[in-house]
Amino acid sequence: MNRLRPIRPALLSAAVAAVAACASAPHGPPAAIVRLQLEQERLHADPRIGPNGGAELANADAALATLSANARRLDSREYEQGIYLTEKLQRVAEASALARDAELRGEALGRERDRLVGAHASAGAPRATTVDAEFAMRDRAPLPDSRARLFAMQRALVGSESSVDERGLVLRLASFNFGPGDTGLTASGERSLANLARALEAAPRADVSIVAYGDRGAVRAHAMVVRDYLGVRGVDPVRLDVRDARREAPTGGSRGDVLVVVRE
Amino acid sequence: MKTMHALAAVALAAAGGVAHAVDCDVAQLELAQATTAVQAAERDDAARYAPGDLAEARTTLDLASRAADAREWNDAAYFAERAKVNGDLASARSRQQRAEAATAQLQRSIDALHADGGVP
Repeated sequence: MNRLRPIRPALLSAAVAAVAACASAPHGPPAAIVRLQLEQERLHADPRIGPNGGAELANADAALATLSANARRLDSREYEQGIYLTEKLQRVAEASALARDAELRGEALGRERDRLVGAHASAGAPRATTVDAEFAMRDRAPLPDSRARLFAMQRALVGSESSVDERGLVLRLASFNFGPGDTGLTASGERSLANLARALEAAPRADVSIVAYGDRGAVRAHAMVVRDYLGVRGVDPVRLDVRDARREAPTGGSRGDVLVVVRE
Repeated sequence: MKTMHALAAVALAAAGGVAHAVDCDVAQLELAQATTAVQAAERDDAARYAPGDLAEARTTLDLASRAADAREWNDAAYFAERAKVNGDLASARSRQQRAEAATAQLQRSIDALHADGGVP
């Protein structure tokens, strides 16, 4: 025992160091992964994101699970890349879910607006009866059969702002639907018109009025983009009519809007 | 669907395979997919609605292209994975912004109808 006395302080120091090392060695996941896990929980708990997360949120789940399981085996660059990609996948999931949430709310608001326009019309409210009076369509509102077909066409316009009223089936394209792409349309504008072109294939008797509101130059050019796109998608040019509205903006819309009105 | 590849990249990285497994073909494939994602974001009007994400996507795509030119396939794949997920993010944010703008417009339209006709 006495022989240990000279080295006792060294042994004690080693023991303390070993205990300290055990205490400081991370047993749980690294802090960055904990942060990602908390964020993932937040995404799932958010009522706008969790139910609308779809494949993107599932991808973020899977990426995080894989990263968590393998974090300690990765070198620093691989680990950093895993954190980076997982964090970005979470942001993709969040944005995609919020987009779906907004689109669903938009559909509900579209129905609400249709109901209000109908209420105005039945109450004889001047605003309702003069909606786009320049179309001169007030005296020939769609008959019930035609209206049913227009509603069927409207169901094909998923994700677009559209309504069925006394003018017919009305698809609204705002300035943000027109862009720098090859077709002069953004992806959303192209999707809307591609869906409309498909719906028009099943409605050979329907005519299409493309009405430009606001500045004659730029908006008229947008209306021509719509006409050209529908023509390329197989809609007979005879069925397409481009015109300038007399008013600056459609009811409930904005200056610069292009309305695509389908009637039989 | 776009994010599936990024997820696969995470899984690959997590399996410890990136540093040793990337060859020319894999890196070129990553680069092509990243280019497609960035182009899709541009078509989705991300320059207007998600300029920061699109800029990051372009920057990382440029780094990936330079690495590929230098035949640094690990770096090319590394930056291409980043460019692709940033392109996907720019597209998703652009879609979100457009959808929220359209919804706000509809809400204003409804408010106007309420104010105009006193409809409940």
